[in-house]
Amino acid sequence: MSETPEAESEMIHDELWAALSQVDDPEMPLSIVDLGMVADVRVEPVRAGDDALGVAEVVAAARPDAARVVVDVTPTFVGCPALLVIEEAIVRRLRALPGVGTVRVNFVYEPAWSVDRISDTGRAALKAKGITVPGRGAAASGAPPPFVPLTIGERGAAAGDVTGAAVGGRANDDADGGARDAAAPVVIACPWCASADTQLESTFGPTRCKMIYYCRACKNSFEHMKRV
Amino acid sequence: MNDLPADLKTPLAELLLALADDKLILGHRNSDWTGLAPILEEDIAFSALAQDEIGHANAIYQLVAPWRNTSADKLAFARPPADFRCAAVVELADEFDYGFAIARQLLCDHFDLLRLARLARSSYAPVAQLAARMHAEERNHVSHADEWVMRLGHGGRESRARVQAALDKLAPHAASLFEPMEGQERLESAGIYPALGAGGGGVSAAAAAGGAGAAPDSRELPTDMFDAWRTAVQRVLADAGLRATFERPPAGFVGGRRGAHTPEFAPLRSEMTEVAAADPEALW
Repeated sequence: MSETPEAESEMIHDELWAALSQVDDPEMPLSIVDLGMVADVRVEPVRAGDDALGVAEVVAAARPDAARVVVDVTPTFVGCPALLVIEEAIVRRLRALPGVGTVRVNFVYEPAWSVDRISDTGRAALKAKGITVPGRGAAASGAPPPFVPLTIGERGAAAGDVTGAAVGGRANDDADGGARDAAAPVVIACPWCASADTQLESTFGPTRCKMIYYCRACKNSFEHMKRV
Repeated sequence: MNDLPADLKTPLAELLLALADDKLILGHRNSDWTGLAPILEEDIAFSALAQDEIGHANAIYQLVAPWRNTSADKLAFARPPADFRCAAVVELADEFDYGFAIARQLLCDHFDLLRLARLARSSYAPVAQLAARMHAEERNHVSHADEWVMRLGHGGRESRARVQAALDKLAPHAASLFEPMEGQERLESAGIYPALGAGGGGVSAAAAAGGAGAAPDSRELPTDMFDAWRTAVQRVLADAGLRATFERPPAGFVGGRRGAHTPEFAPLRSEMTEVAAADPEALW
């Protein structure tokens, strides 16, 4: 049974996406597809004599079955240091597929990555590792970044060791949706014990896309994806 | 718009290099705090700020490099000092005074947020797309600076005195951020560097500066960039019980935007480029 060219190209397309689903972000427990980093995958014909071809592509063009695969990747953070590792991993994984000649990775900012792009599978994988994710629509809500409730003061100035006027203003509002009042405190439930008694410790976490929270109930810290 | 009018390429390159150079040098200064910040969270914060700023600079250099027939690495590490376009305020050494480091972040992060808001509405799509993404990240820098200025201002006598002294030292240099650049008016009238509040979507200056204030504030910011910046910064300083006076650059001011740098810049640059200069052709 022979396949039509359209069916064949769809099959290649599915295989490419399946292969990309096996490429993990080196700093996150999920694939770049579930993280929402892959914006587009397409196959371009390779023609010998094309001026834009690099050495590897010229070699590939000598193979009649070789396809040039282009992957558009939208970075989570512009300065993410894992981008080069991810690029190499994509190239290595896709080149292992039969029929793939060369692979080019473009970093694009349109569509822009946001936390809303994380898939349901990705959200479940993150939760299993104790990383919480703001609800869908959170990135578009435009609410200000959350406020860290830390204060400083002079030693021995009052009953406690640390006094200092409360640094006023904002509630701890990593808002979980655009519809909500941005000023209302939004509770980030602890992924370990589900307690609502949690507190933001630092807006800068182990990677650029995460913040650190502390659960006062079970006394564990956990990571929360930024609402960016 | 994906194609840039040829006569606007040079002024846009100057504007983008000012943005990238501010970020590279500020990021380099931020990285000094890795391992040395007063608390662990700030050690991580300043390391993350450095990573963001240098990452942003790299992305902008990638955009400009082909126009100059060079590479991002060469723009960062192989330009003579006079070709850098950074402002004096990012060049000053903080002498490991955390109050100074935070006061500088306040001035620079608010400026960058407004500059990126303008560029995010650029009619030139590659700049608009990148700037929109950087703007979303910059909001976190601004809230970090606002929080710490308030914390230091309302903290103990020493923290208040040190952050006030830093502001006194930094305030006269803030004008360096606003030095007009060659061809800037042409970029503005072409919509490549639209004014605050101008351009598509009816985005207000206040919305463009989203997250700038420590408390949500719906009051409009002025559409003039210096006025908008001063208003946003003064709101934070007023909440923190601190004082500073800011002026526009005087007529005829020539500074970093045209290659005239502070005495602190040359030693900073030689240290920053030391490894790259040891083997300029090395691959990283």
